[in-house]
Amino acid sequence: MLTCSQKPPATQSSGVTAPQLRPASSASQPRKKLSTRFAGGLLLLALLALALMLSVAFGAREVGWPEIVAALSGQVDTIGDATVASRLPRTLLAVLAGAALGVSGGVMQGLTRNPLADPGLLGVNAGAALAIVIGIAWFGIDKTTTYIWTAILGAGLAAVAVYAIASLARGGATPLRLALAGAATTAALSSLATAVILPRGDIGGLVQPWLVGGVGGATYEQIMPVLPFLTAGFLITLLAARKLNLLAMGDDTAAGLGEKVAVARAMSAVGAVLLCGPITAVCGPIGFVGLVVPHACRLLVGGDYRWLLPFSALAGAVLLTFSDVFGRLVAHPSELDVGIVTAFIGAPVFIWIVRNRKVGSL
Amino acid sequence: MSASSLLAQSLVAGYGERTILNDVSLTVQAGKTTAIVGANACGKSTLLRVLSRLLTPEQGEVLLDGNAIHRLPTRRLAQQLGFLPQSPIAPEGISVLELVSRGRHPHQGLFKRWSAADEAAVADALSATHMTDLAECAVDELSGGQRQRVWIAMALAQQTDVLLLDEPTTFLDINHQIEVLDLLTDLNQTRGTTIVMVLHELNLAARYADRLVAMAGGNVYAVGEPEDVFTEQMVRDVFGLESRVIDDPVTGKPMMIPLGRHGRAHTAEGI
Repeated sequence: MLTCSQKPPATQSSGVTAPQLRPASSASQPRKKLSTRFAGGLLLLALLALALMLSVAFGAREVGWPEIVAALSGQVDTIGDATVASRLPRTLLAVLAGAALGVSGGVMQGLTRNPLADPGLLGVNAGAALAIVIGIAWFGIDKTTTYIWTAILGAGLAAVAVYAIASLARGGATPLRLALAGAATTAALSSLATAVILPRGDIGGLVQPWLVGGVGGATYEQIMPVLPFLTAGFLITLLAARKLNLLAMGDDTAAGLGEKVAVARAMSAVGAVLLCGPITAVCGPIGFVGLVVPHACRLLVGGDYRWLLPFSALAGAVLLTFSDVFGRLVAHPSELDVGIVTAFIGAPVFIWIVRNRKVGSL
Repeated sequence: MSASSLLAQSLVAGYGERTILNDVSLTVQAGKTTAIVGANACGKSTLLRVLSRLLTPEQGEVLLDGNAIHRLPTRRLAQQLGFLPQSPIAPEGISVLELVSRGRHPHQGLFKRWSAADEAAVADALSATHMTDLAECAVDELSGGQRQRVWIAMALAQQTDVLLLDEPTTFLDINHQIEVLDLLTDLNQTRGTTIVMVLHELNLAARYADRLVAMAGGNVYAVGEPEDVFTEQMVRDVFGLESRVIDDPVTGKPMMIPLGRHGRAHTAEGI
């Protein structure tokens, strides 16, 4: 590795003078940086364990070890026990949401070859949230399963709309155009949601969670219906990982290597929407996790989506759980919704990506 | 490796309303290097895209060993026919080894793991392109000529009988252009790979190709060996350029010297 940063002289014609001579046998299956990946994986697991502990232990109400132990063992006798017990589903949802949004963002970045892609930024979460708000306001939907399907529909429509808007201009959907179309659509959809709610004092409290995303007050009854969708979403996106690797080399190259480009895109998109739609149905729109997490993981494991997606799941869970704990502590004794916390973390990263990376190089 | 034949029959193709190829037929000789030349917008890249099934023709078909390529399963076709676009994208930070390994994609299935054959093909492709020593390097850090060798190595790892390349020498310095064309000639001679490439540089095309396809206005103007196709008349009709065509003193192949408006005064009549 030490020699690659020195650019070999341009006149070198055969590689004979290359400073580094490795035996041909090193050309084994592409598995470089395996130890980095292993160490990174362990680090993320450790961080996740820490985040889980903090999430159970800290919150608006202070609890002691006995109450934590009691709640974890299923005994709920005191208010403290009940507090801890209520933090368990919340923590589970934070882990699931973080993992789903992290993977979803990674997939969207891959399929649009756009480093700025994220379910929040591309208006997909806003679409899901608006669909639910409309469903509640006009159609009186009230079951989690109905929320989920409505959210998937809204997310899918928003994704297609944003891609279509960005593709309208000459030159197609460039990264910045896609980000702009996404930002504009997000603003429009959020305003629409507000417009739907404003005249309806009766549902104001009911729809509040879909205006700002959060995991507070989660129950197992809410989480269970989401699981099949997330499972399907994770499976589809993992199967699409190899296809994303090919899409990363340009459509023509991918096609030349025997990949059906349209099928690869559609499959990845369906997987991404199955992950972020249902999560938005339960948590409301949570932005920036899908943007930040895959970029951080790229530094760790490189651009191979077969590694990037599982790591994004892990890192997303870590980020969202920590953000949720942070939101509980920083506004003590009240709480800050996790959607607000991730926005605070994500906005600077967004700016960093735009300023420092060759936008459009994915 | 046996050479495969590629045959285009009465192709009509274009983008949307715009028809670019008008009834183009072409026989690509197996085991030879064919260069497609012509002025900008004459349809040469479009023809290559149809030959590589990236573009579906409105009429006519392309036959590979007798099978219509637009009806073959994409993966099976990719095992027989490789295509290198003009500006492929190297994902950020990808290593030479990883990129070349992706050439094995059509040979791998969902449940078929990396095999010894895959490994051998990649090692072979790296050594043929002299990239073995740089296998661990990031592609972004290489020079333009080396990067093009990496892409060719990826196409080699695909182990196809036919390789189509869209302007493989664009953006390269002249020394790297020669290097890439020498490499392709090596492949053609040692593996018998049928090579079809679009080339801008007429003299290089005449020098390196066994056969030239000159295109003008969406049609094939002439096909044949460079000695037969490459004439002053062809340069005039295809490129709208007055020139002298002489024998290349090194290879004896035809070589073109443009006259231009300011060159005439110095042109010796005896050329």
